[in-house]
Amino acid sequence: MVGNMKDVMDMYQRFRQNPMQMLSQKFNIPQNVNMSDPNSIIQHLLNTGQVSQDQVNNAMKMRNQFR
Amino acid sequence: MPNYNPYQYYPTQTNAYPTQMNVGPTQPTQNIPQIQDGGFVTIPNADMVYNYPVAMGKCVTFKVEGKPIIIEKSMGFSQLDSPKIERYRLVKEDSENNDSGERGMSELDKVKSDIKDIWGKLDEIENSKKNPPRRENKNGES
Repeated sequence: MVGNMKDVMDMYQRFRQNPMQMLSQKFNIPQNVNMSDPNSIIQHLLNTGQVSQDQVNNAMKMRNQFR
Repeated sequence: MPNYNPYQYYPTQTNAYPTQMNVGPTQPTQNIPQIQDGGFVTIPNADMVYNYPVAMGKCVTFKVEGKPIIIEKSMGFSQLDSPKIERYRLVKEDSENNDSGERGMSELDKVKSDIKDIWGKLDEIENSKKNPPRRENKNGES
């Protein structure tokens, strides 16, 4: 249990230090994808079938609403 | 009672299922992939279309807010394909039944012209009855 807590804390620290690196590891985003451009990340997720077009459309609608 | 050997193999009914008929060589079917509808999205400005992510083999339709513009962005089936962007302008109709009204008028005009033609032919027949064509005699006297 203590070990698990330590793992979670380590993960949290790594996420705080470099969130993009953690995300790229989680979603297998290669180095050539521009991580500073959200659209290119989404395009990669679409191309690899990790997200659907409907999910992207909904996310973009929400983003436009809160702009 | 016949000699029944419990350890002997007695074949059951053969060809329980009918054999498939030989229909000859089949035509190879071409599975041409078609671009599927990727949804409808409203965007605040038309420039967003160029960076909007679209999945391969999908076509997303955009409506620009407050403008009568529709843009379609479609992607091919390869990552090497460049996206195809087509822009359409919406045209407001004067009335809801404008299209059907125009069609109705054209049909009415067609019927009117047909009636005119028929009346014209009837007049010709009637005139020919009233004034039959003169027959000339062999001597040339009428």
